[in-house]
Amino acid sequence: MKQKILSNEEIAPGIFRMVVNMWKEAQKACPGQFVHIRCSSSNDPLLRRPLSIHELIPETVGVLYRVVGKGTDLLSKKKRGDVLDIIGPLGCGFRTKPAVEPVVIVAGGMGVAPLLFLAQSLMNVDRHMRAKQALPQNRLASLPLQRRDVRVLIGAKTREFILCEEEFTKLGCSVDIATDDGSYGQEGYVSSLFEESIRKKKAGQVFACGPNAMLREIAAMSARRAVECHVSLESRMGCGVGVCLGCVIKTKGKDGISGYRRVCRDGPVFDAQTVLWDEFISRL
Amino acid sequence: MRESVDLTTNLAGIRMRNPVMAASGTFGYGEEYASLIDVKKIGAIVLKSVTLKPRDGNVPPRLVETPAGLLNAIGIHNIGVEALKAEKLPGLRDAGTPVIVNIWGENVNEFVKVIEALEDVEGIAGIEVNLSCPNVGGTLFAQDAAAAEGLLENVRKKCALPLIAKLSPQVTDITLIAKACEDGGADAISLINSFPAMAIDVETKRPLLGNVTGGLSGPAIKPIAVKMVWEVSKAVKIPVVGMGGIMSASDAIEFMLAGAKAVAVGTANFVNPRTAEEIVNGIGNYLAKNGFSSVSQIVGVLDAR
Repeated sequence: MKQKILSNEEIAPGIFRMVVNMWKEAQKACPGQFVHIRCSSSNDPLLRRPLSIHELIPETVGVLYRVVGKGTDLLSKKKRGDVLDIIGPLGCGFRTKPAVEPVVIVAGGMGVAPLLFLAQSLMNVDRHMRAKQALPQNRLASLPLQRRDVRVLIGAKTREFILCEEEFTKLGCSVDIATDDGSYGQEGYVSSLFEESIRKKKAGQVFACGPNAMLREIAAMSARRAVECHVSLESRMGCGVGVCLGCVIKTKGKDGISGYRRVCRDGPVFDAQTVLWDEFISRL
Repeated sequence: MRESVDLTTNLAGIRMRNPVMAASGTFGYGEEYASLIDVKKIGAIVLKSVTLKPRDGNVPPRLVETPAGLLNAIGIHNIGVEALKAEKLPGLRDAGTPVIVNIWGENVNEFVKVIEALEDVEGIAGIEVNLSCPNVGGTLFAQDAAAAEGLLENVRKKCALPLIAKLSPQVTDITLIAKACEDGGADAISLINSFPAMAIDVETKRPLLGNVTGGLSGPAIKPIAVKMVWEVSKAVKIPVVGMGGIMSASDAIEFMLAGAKAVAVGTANFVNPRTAEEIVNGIGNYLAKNGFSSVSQIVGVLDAR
């Protein structure tokens, strides 16, 4: 489906936020879902690039991406007005509870990508639900924010890679920061912030996205405190719709039997306790 | 203009609306793409290889993108023939397009058991015998003419449906294998499966695939495929299904000029799920523009003097 680019800006070194006009398809989007973008009309690079939906604003969809290879480099050179071939929204997103239990969101580096949309949705469930029914925009804007306890913890290597702090704050989330070098917020990993956070105050659900080593830690800490934890994972994808079976990860089911599940269709969001982390991480 | 062009194709008794098929392993069980495309517009769909028992497939990573290509090592991850019958085939009866079941086994006996399990099952237009998966153990039938012929003979005995033999490009002379399959009772030959290949991460000094090696598909292998289709279509009397890196109508027409009666779109489905549909339209336009009334008129008309 051809979609027009409204903006494509570098917001941190090598990191871009792109906004496209695809409201018709995106109205149905749930936080944690992704769009599958063709970066070039030529045969090289051949495959699409899956990018989490970062923001859902009436009429537009935002994605956040880092330039890591040929595809994302081509994407970063696209200009306002250019047209992209995009499929989506795809995949299964975060399974949030409507309850008012406190929520902790943990983002490592580029992991903020799907989590801002999640926070938008959590803080304004009402607006999101109504958006699905395509209420006129002017009415959407006037709907009040939800008062939910959403704690956002963001970690990155250095200050310049701390993304979206302002956006989360504006939504009414509390935000805490950690950087590896201590250039901003607490020095160290975001997992330490998380440990502190859940020790001080119980959380109902945890949602995390970031490097796999971080996700494994967050999953283990959540398990120790018996807190439900959902993680958004990354994998090299082919089709993005579940047919090629290229992006699978090994998980264990409730019955204890392990098996491969598709990141693109069964995920990208998984219950952290079903992921066989050692197997997943050793394979990357 | 388009009404005057006849795209219907009879592939060894499989009656198709047009000659453009979806290749095995790239179209799932038809249902996944249903929300994105109109499956009825495709000539036929070939399902992912099915085995006697469910298979987990290979350890990830299973995919690597290479220049104009895709390297995969899925390892015939599938639900098994009983689940296929119970969960997938009933829904596919209303697909509106012929459904071809692709079968694989570690040995002749397993192939025979799969074909027996499919006997009298409704809604199957044909069987494709996968002699050529590069990513699993077992006999690579497609590299041994006698083994290929023996396999086809055994499957043939149990199968009244049109039988397509799918070949590997990694052989010294593919025409020998194709002829052996024809002698064994195949009704059609499909080629080529992905080409055995590998890619290495120079930083970690490790293979990029969990299975170490995989099969290369996509535009990178198309010229190899066209040549092999040309060779095989001259060597056998049964029809040939051409595949390997088809991305556009022009690609598909190349295969048909080389001798393919039908073509299959594989990797391109991942890039653009509408590829097959667009190719059908493109072939129609090409035929009309060049004064052909039927798609059969361009099959094998390559002038290679």
